[in-house]
Amino acid sequence: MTALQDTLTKEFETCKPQLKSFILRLTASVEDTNDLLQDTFIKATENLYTFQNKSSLKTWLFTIAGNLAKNFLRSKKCWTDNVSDLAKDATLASQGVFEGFIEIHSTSPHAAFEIREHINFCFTCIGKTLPVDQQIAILLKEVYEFKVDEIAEILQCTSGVVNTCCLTAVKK
Amino acid sequence: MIAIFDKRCSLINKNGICHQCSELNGIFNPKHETQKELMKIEMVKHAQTKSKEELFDLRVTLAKAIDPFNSIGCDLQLYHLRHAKNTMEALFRNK
Repeated sequence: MTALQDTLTKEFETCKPQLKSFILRLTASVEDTNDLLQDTFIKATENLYTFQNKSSLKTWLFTIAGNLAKNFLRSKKCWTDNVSDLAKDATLASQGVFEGFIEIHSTSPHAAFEIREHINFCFTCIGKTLPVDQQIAILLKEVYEFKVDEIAEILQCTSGVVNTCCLTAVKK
Repeated sequence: MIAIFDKRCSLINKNGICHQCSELNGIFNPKHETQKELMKIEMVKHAQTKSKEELFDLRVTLAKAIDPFNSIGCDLQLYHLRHAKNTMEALFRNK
């Protein structure tokens, strides 16, 4: 293993929790998150020779993850802002879903209900009403604290476009 | 996002149409007083005094502090998220 590959592997492990939650907030799927996370590492390894130290490895990893998520979501529609109402209706219409909630809550050691976690869930759902570039920009800026010029690099656009994306997303 | 939260979220707007967090708290934590639980959350505590932008910032701070794969209720929240995703996919399929 080369020194750079070793550094990449270490950086990937360090960034993994953030990368994973970033992808989850975009895809809303654990399975898709795990697939895209694995693809991010594979693509980063395969293209490591193109890494030029112009950005940090962390920014580079988020660029790869963001591009993979964008491609994945390209054909998918934005969610509607009444997603919670529709999900509630679907729960009431199907006994199995509600039973699933109760079963997880009573059997898993990580299934306490906390209002703050539900607010976080709502943040993800409402985020998904935005076009994917806006979702990525707002998450990177607000949740993962990237600078505007880093986000511009990740989204391959100008800082002006990033600012407009974030402003539009926040106001919506 | 601010406009959507303002229209929907009853935690920050008395006329908000969504009370799901309180409803779910009643189901999963019947012994907890929902109002007491809500007042532990900064965003709710300041709902009447802060601007919509400041409330959004408090919401972001809350989201930032939660790792959705490693939290006290992650399995429940991930199940809920999968259900929301399935609901949206069913909606788009039927349109």
